[in-house]
Amino acid sequence: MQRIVTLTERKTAEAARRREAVVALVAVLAAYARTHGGRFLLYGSAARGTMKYDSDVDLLVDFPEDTLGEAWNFAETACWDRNLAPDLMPYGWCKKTFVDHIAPDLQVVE
Amino acid sequence: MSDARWFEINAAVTAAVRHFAGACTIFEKIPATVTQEDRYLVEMAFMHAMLAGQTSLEAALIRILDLTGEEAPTGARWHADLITRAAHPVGERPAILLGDAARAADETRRFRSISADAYDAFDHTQATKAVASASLLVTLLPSEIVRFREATDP
Repeated sequence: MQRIVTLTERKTAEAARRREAVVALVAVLAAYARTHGGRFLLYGSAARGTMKYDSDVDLLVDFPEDTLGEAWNFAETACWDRNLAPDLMPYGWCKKTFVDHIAPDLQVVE
Repeated sequence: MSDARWFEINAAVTAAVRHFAGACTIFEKIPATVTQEDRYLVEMAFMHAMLAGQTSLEAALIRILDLTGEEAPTGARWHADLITRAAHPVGERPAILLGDAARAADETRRFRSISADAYDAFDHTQATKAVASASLLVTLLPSEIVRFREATDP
């Protein structure tokens, strides 16, 4: 009899894949940050290790103004290459209330 | 005779210039706008004008790709791929956007992403580089499209 993969099983597998992909992503981002004089800040479910099957990767990009765009594009591409959905913002643009809200989860990647 | 589809392309370019120029004007009003209600109005108007500018720019680029028989990028990263593609020659098609114009379009593309995903989380007054890029596109975009048209459809 043909085995049927249930939606719950598919979602569970995809969530696990995303969590593993984030581990690999963080290593790549850290290497970039170390060599380019900046840092990334991971927050939300990706930082907590609680990603679901449809979770995106919440990242703040903290680099000097002249290299910010390049760092953004690197992080964006690194996410897409791992079939992850990036949600990026420059750290310097954040409202204080927003930073306070995400502070408990914040994982510095450098 | 020139291809009739330039009519729609020129309309999209005109719309992009209009919206980006409007965004620059609105941006200047943000710091002096004090009351909460007025601040909400100008911030939303600014974001929408930037988004409309980028959407119009993308519409122009997609129509140009169609004109040259080139498939438009698809998938999750299509907004970024479209700007990258436009900035490079493909086959016998020259680059649509060169140098500063291509870099500015990528900057406004990144702002598009912030507007769409993080609209409540950021301080709009920090968007100076995106606004400078929008201003640059107001100046450069029409001449870039004219250059491309003269090269491909003289």
